[in-house]
Amino acid sequence: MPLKELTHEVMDAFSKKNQKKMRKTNDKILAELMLSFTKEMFNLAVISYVLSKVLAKPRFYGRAYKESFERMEQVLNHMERSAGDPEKYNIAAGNLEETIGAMESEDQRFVKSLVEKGKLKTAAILYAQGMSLSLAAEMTGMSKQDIMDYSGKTMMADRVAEAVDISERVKKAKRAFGG
Amino acid sequence: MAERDFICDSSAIISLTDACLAHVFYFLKEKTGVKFLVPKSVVEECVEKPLHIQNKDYRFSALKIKDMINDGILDKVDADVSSKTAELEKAANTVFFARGQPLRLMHAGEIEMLALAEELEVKNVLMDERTARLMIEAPLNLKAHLEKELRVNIMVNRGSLEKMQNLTKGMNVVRSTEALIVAYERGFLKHFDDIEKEVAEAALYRLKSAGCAISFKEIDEYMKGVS
Repeated sequence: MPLKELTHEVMDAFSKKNQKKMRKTNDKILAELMLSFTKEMFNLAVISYVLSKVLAKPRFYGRAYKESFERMEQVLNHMERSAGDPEKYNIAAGNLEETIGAMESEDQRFVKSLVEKGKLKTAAILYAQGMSLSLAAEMTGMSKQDIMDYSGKTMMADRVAEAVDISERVKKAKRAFGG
Repeated sequence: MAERDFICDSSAIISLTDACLAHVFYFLKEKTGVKFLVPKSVVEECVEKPLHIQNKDYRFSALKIKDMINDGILDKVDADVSSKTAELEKAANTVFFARGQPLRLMHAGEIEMLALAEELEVKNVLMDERTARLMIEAPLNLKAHLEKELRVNIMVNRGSLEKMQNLTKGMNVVRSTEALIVAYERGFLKHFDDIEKEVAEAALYRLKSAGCAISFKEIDEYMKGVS
């Protein structure tokens, strides 16, 4: 699915404050990202994740954040219009991330920001889908340690059919160590 | 290089240090005499980078790894395998195709490590990362996994696959969990006396949690077989 359509879906889910739809759109973007990775699609994946979290937090629905919500809608609109221009698109995505960062900093609760969490989750999903750890780290700018830490707490390793069973693996390891 | 030497990927070093099990390296080196070879790029990634970035989360692990290098437990190695790496990177990233486009799955650093293993004639690779391991052991399982995850047909380029298989022929991938098991069976956890087996199981879970790509089923199966 092209970037413009997916950006439109994100904007639609956000303006309707439909968190469920935002999560589904995030899933669609993640599937697309592995097949054709671009910086724009990566930014959209992170933004859709972050906005789904924003929509899930009632504290962000107060009057204090009304202006930020309006600003985010404007930026999403701009992103949709810039879908054919990677530079403009990524600048707009950066602006959106800054707005979210500013909202969070007013009431900071976690060491990792929502945007950072979004980047990490996206990296871990790319690794889970089949991209190598180093490549997922490079493409997303996350550290391998962070991705391993995150993936280690998921069922990622349990979803792959292994070709060598554990007893054979241990036998081979023992041989390798000279036992 | 000796037949029993290991070339270490950053993933296994990270899991073992993160799980506070770095002494597995000391123990195995002393008991078995193997060498743990670490490519220069892995040292940069696991030591230099975490020590020089603003985020201090991984400094402790980096310093433990630095200490292992200073103690001669991990041996830094280097060789120029750049042309081979470039050729193989192209092959590795054109093994699978989706919607008519090649799927870029592997990073030059991972390919460089495999090329270095071949250059140094080292057959054992210590690695916790899953994709590169599957590419070595069972590329068709990786294809099935990609199809399940991405819900598209994946085509295989036989020429690229053959190139990869020629490079990795005879390579033996050992995860940090198997290294721990070998150490455990040689007495690494003996000082825990009657809770030794329980500690071994807990340590395997800890390695999984630190990012070693092992399933719960594999841990259970191994523990069932231990008396």
